Amino acid sequence: MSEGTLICTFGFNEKKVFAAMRSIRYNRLVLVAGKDVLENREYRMMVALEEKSGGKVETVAIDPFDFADCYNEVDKAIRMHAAGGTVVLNISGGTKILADAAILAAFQNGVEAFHCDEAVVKLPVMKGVRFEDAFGEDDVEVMENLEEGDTAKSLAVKLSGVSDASMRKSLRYLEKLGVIVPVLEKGEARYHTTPGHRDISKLAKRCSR
Amino acid sequence: MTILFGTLGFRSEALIPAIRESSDVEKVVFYHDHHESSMKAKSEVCSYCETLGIKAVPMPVDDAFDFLQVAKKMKQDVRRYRKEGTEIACFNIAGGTKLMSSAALLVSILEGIPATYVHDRTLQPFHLPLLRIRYSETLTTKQKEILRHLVDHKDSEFTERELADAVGVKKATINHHVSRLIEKGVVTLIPKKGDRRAKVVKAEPAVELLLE
Repeated sequence: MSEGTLICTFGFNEKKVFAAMRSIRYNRLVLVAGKDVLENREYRMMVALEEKSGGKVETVAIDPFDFADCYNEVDKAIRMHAAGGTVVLNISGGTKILADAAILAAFQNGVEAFHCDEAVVKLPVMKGVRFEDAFGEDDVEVMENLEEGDTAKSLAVKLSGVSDASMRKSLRYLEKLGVIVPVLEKGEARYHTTPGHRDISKLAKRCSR
Repeated sequence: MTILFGTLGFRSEALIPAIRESSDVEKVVFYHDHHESSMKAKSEVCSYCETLGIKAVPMPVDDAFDFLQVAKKMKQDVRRYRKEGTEIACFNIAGGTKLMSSAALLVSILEGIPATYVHDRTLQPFHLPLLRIRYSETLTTKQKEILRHLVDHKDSEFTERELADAVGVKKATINHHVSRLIEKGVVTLIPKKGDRRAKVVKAEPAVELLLE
């Protein structure tokens, strides 16, 4: 396990963070916790302990019952710290929603993730394998321009530098990935985003090189 | 046939809204533990499904806190249903212990299954932004073969030379693949028992979840 940033999800049980601190080498600790946790005794004790050992604690406050907020904040923390070195995640603390959001963020960014409790389990995240690498330039262009209910024809006029054949190939690929779905309306296929990808422009922005 | 997978804890409300939202589902496969409250929630889900004419398949888990075992069981079931030609509409991961939920999400990511999370307060299913990709497809056939060998012989030790012989490739080839697998974080090199100068290749325990 390399040195770098350790990001831990945290609820009320400091032992889960301690388990990660003992098992994973790091030089910067980031705690992701609910806003109400920041005032509790366990949290303050952990910060004091880390500072006593010469380390610094950075805290990311989230709403632990809001999946999107948890995911966005963990994702942001990973990206920020990954720019300056390695990032390792421990997902054993906090609410179910926070842990799940952290798992998703770990997979999407290709960073190592552990569940540290009585046993330390390394999750099968492949380092450096990011979800966004599944998309090519044409796919990103299509995602950037696609609006709800577009037909292939209406989409084509908005694209620059993507041939008709490439655009259709991208549409089929995005459908296969579960990002969009064609719906037959008045004999024409109209493309809609799937419920998990309503904010397709965000996905496009993320994948843009 | 289209089925919905789910995890269930003490509250049937963590699963029922996901069933209600999936209009074309014919079967619901859900995981629960043996706790009294979970059994009560199980009965409520079964009763709800029966009313709607949907087949309910409760799947008890022996230890809802054994992350890897739960994930392995879920993965096996997903693969089995897929082999039978069943389409998996979604995996609702809101119920059960935190470890059951995390295991379900892990399987959804690895197997490319859409996942939802029924919000605790609003009871509205939230669709997770997953992609329908088989995560293991980012490994080459040879890398999978090497991992399979290591997983199948997890109690044995293999130096790179021994591993090369076992999978029938040259030492240089195995060296290349092992280096890539180390980079991906799925195998490590550790000192051999009794000969600390030699290194053996070890697969991480959860890597099994990536393989067929």
